[in-house]
Amino acid sequence: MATGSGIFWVTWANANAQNSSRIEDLVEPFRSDATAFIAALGLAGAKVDVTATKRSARRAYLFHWSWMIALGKCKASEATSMPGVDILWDHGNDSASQQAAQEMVAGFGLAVPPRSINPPALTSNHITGLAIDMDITWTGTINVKGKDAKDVAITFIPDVNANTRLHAVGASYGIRKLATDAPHWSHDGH
Amino acid sequence: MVTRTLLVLVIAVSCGCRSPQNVPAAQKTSVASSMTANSTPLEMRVGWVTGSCVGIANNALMAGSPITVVSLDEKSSIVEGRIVGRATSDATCPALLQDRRKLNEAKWSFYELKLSAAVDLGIGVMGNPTLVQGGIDLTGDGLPENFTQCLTSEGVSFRVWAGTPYQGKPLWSGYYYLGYDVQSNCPS
Repeated sequence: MATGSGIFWVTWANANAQNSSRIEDLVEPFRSDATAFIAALGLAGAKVDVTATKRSARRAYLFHWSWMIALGKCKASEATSMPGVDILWDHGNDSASQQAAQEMVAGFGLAVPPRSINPPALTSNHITGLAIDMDITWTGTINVKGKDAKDVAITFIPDVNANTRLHAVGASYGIRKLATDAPHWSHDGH
Repeated sequence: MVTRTLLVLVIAVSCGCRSPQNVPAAQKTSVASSMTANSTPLEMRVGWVTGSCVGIANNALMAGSPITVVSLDEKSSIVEGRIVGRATSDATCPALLQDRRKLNEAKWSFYELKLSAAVDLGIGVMGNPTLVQGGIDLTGDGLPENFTQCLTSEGVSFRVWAGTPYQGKPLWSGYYYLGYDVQSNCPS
């Protein structure tokens, strides 16, 4: 029997629909590519802290529809279903459905910028196991081997989005930087 | 503490940029008396605000320190507040939720705020910044800066511009890692 939307699902998601930070949860060949890039960074003396790899589709589903319903972007009855998530979005009237969805938006800490029309995404490179978030730090200049085994001297700068030499080495392994989000790398740069 | 609801000339960018302006002259006079020069680097004086929490590249702020927040919510306003202390819980600081805490804490120190009005997203300036034309002047040129926020692929980009938003290099930029995927609406 379906359980009505509300704060219950925040607790449920935190127990049953967690995101991963394990490289092993990425899909091939991206997993091997990421492993090789991170190994090269480590050999050169960089510290790599992986914080997100494969994200849960069920968690993304709860984020997306709670945001849509809470902000009045759709009726609760318009929410699609998701295998393994037996949630009842429609509480019988719009106000109750919206209130329950709002509990989830607050519980998940979803951002609600003014005039935003962009809900949390249902699909992404993270959800398909083709993206990785990581914090890469080092001191001074290090020599990182590209996939062709040639050393590339890379100087640390705080804004990783601007470190094009690091991006180029990553790309040689098939790990491409998205320049708007500091920790984000993926198979296609998105 | 007072919330100054602003008569705004909003530069209406869909991603939410605010340039609060046109505060009445009497109000300008009253705030001008609290202006002080500040030699602290901008990076250590400016931070991004979500709820009752500021993330800032400064780990030495003291409880009771004043902060002026440019709210980037639907209704533009300047909100005054004070540092309560270090934020340790996601209950008061959404940036510390499990999915996003590690990356946010890698770059920013977080402090709980007591604000005179609720803020969802905003940019905070420590101390008593110079208020002109209903906005904040960080450069000393007598003109208010432009404060913006927009969504990136998995975060919120906060920026302060001396000139036209999204043209050239910002005076200051901050990044709130959300830990989930969204469609970016930042101007390219």
